[in-house]
Amino acid sequence: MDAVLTLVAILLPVLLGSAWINLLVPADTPARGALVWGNGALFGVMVTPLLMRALHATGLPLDFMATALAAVALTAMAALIHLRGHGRGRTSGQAAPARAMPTAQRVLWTILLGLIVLRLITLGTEVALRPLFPWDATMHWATKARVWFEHRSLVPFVPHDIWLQVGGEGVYTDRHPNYPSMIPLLQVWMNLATGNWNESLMNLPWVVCLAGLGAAFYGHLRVARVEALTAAAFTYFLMSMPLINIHVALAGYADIYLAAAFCCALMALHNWMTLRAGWMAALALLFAALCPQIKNEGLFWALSLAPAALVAFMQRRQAAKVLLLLGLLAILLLLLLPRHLVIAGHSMEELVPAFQPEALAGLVKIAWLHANWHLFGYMLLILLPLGLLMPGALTRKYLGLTTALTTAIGAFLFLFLFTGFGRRRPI
Amino acid sequence: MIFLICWLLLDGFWQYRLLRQVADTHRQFAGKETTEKLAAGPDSRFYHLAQRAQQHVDGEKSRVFVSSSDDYHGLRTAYYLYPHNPYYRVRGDELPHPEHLRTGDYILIVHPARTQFRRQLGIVQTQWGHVPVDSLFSEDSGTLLRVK
Repeated sequence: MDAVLTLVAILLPVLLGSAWINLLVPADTPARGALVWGNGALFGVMVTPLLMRALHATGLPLDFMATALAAVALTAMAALIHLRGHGRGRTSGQAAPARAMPTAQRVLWTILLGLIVLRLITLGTEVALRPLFPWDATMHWATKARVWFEHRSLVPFVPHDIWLQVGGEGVYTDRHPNYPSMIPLLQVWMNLATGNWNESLMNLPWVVCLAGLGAAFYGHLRVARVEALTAAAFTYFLMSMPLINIHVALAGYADIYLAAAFCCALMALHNWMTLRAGWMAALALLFAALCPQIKNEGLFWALSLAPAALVAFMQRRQAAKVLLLLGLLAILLLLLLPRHLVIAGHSMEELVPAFQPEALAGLVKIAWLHANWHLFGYMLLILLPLGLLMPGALTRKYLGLTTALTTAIGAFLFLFLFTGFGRRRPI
Repeated sequence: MIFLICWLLLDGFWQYRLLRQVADTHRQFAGKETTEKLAAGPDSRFYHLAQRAQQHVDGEKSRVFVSSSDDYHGLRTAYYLYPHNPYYRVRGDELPHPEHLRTGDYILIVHPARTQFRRQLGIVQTQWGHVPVDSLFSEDSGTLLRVK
């Protein structure tokens, strides 16, 4: 019975998310199934905890049946809207004539799919067996899940000094009490299904997250007119990278959800800029809005997409001026904002620029020496110059994507090369 | 195509390692309930310590201060104390100032720790001074005390 209930807890969010994403995606979109189910699975897994929070805000305890009924009602509503014809006749105008793959390509495509499925089964088995292990998971994610599951309520978590002031009455504390509730609530949802605290099965949504990311990635590549075999190969590259796999095998961190939401927002943003399709803009906004709900730092990742959206319809020269101005504004804000100001859980004090030379070697090692990315680091060395030299790389078609990636990578490098986050810590 | 073949080769080794890891994990945890898994897992000694401490702690609302100079030991033990109300600061003071402690609070010293229990004197020596305590149990991994 527990297996059935766990399956329901997995499938219900996937159906909920897919039913609503299905309304967005036009009928003739290439790889529509992958787009709908991939984005839908991710959206559903991320929106179910928000649904739990909304129900809890009305005074209900955290309850599987109430949440499940609400999810079923919302899924039925989306299905009803679909059946009434909303969007069914809508076309993307992007449909390319279907071209049958040669047999050899089809065989290779099937092998790649088989390898992806094998990876998902391997990781799923590991997750279903292993109790919670990762450091951050026991430091500030599952702590909340454990308490909220036991109390069937979102008991507040407060900083240590507040906990001491109130004598721990009615409050709990952990390392990051102000982190968003999405990930702990997802674990609560899985445990509420069976009514038992299960440190293994509660992490199965991490496997769904990877599967959803892969399907969404493939779908977006196909929308961008990438051939099916090439899209399958790059999806396999993405889903086989050891660091991403480890985030699933040792489930419990929020980072893979943030990465998936950011990736979906970025891909949708690129396809929106290229195709000028409104539904892609909606998808990009949806996933960008979910980023801060996953981790406080998600706000910065979501904001890193803003310059790209801003230059989307500009000429190259005009865009360069705007980006230069934005860069100067960012430096000014960094220097002028009061040090005690806290943004998304981080004080400006933490962002005071100071070069961290020891972090440079670390960054080089994680990209090109350690077994984190397979050959991705080396692929970048080839793809980056090729991409910049490619005709049209910096024209309107790729300007947005280039801007978004430059902003995100720039922010990442600034964080780890020029702030205290790049310093070696005891743990 | 050459790149794909190289990636496939490299990933073949990774898949093999993953399969071996799954086999190990299966041997270690298959067929076990969560409590049995935790008791058999890599943190079993912290789990056992927390379980034993919970048997001595009155009610879930009781405050348990975890004291350790090793962040890994302290944090893992504190985690297994939830849904009780543990207090543990990663990279922070081992214990708060005694003015924040009150009669009936519990102090769980997880070794290694700078906080020391002096059995003959019935006190726990912290960086801030000493606090009178009763000893509830002591084992290799740690000691549970109740503030008098």
